[in-house]
Amino acid sequence: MDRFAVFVPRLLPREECFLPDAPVSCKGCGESLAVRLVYKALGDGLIRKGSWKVPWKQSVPELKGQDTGDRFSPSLLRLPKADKQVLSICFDNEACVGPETAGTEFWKKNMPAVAVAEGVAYVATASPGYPFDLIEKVKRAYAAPGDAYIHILCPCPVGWAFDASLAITIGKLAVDTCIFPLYEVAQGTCLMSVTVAKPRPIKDYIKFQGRFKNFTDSDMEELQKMVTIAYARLSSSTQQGEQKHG
Amino acid sequence: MSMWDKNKVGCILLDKKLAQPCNKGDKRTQKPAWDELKCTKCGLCYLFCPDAAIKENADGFFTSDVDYCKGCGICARECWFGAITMAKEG
Repeated sequence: MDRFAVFVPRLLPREECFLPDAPVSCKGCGESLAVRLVYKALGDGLIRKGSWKVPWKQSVPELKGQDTGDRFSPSLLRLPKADKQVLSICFDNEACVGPETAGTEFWKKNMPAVAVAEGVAYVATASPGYPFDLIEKVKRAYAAPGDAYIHILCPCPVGWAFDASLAITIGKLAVDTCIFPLYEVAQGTCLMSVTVAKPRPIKDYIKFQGRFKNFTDSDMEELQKMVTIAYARLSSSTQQGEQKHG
Repeated sequence: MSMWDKNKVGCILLDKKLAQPCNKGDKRTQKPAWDELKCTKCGLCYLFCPDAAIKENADGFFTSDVDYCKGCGICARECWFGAITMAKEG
C-alpha cells in the first residue's frame, strides 16, 4: 500500500515559512511559488538551522548567458545537512534573455546531468506545476545520504513574456511537451517521475511565450527534433516509475 | 504591556517579517472573488498562490489577503470548478 499516496492541498502544513514581505517578486512569480513549496517541505525548524540570514539565493554564473542583472538570473539555494553535506536547489528561470542575447543560439547547460556526472547522491528535476512531486523530492533529497541537487524550472512571467495567470500552465506544459522531463537519480538509478506517453507538440509550449516571438517554423522543427532526441535518450536510460500527478 | 516588553531578550526577531510590513497589493488591477456555491474547499488556490495571500476562514472557505494579493489570476485559472472570478479592482 505504500505505493498509494493522497495528494490533498488541505492537508499540507499551514505554516508559511516563506513570506515574501519585501518586494522581491513580480506578480505570478514561479520562483516565489517554488521557494514557498520548498520551505513548506522542509519546515520551519530546518530554516533556522539553515542559512536564512545570508541571501536566500545566489546567482549561478554557469546558467547566465550574459550580464542580465541579478534580479532575473537563475539562483541557487544551499542548505547544510549533516556531515558537511549540502542540499543545493537551483531555481532556473532560463534568464538568458535580453537585447544582448537576442539572435544568439545556444542551448542551456544540462545542470542535472553535470551533477550526476559529478557523483552527487541524489539529483532530481522538479516544476511548480507539479507541487506534490516537488515537495516529495525536496523531502527525499534532504533525507538522502550524501549531497543532493534539485533543479526546479520556474516560469517567469516577465522574462518569458506571458500572462501572469499562466505560470502554472506553462510549468505543466514544459513537462507535457518533454522539453523539461521530470526525473530523479538516486544512487545512480534514474527514475521518471512523470511518464509522458504521448508528448504534446513543442508549439503548445512556445505559443504562449513572447520570448519565442522571433521563432520561425524551421526553428520550431529543429527544436522539436532536439527535444525528441533528448527525451528518447533520457527515457532509454531510465526505469519506468509510478505516475505522480500534482 | 509596553511595546518593548513584547520583544524577546536581545530584540531577536524570530519571524522573518520586516520591521514594517509593506503592502504589495497596492498596484493590482484585479482581485479574486470566490463563489461559495461552486467552491468545494479543496484548497488548490491556496496551494498555487505564489505570495501565500490566500487564507482559510472559519467556515473552511478560502479568501485572499488584500495586503499581499497581487492579482496575478493563477487561482482563477487553476480552480477546477470555476469558483473564482477575477473582479476589477476599484
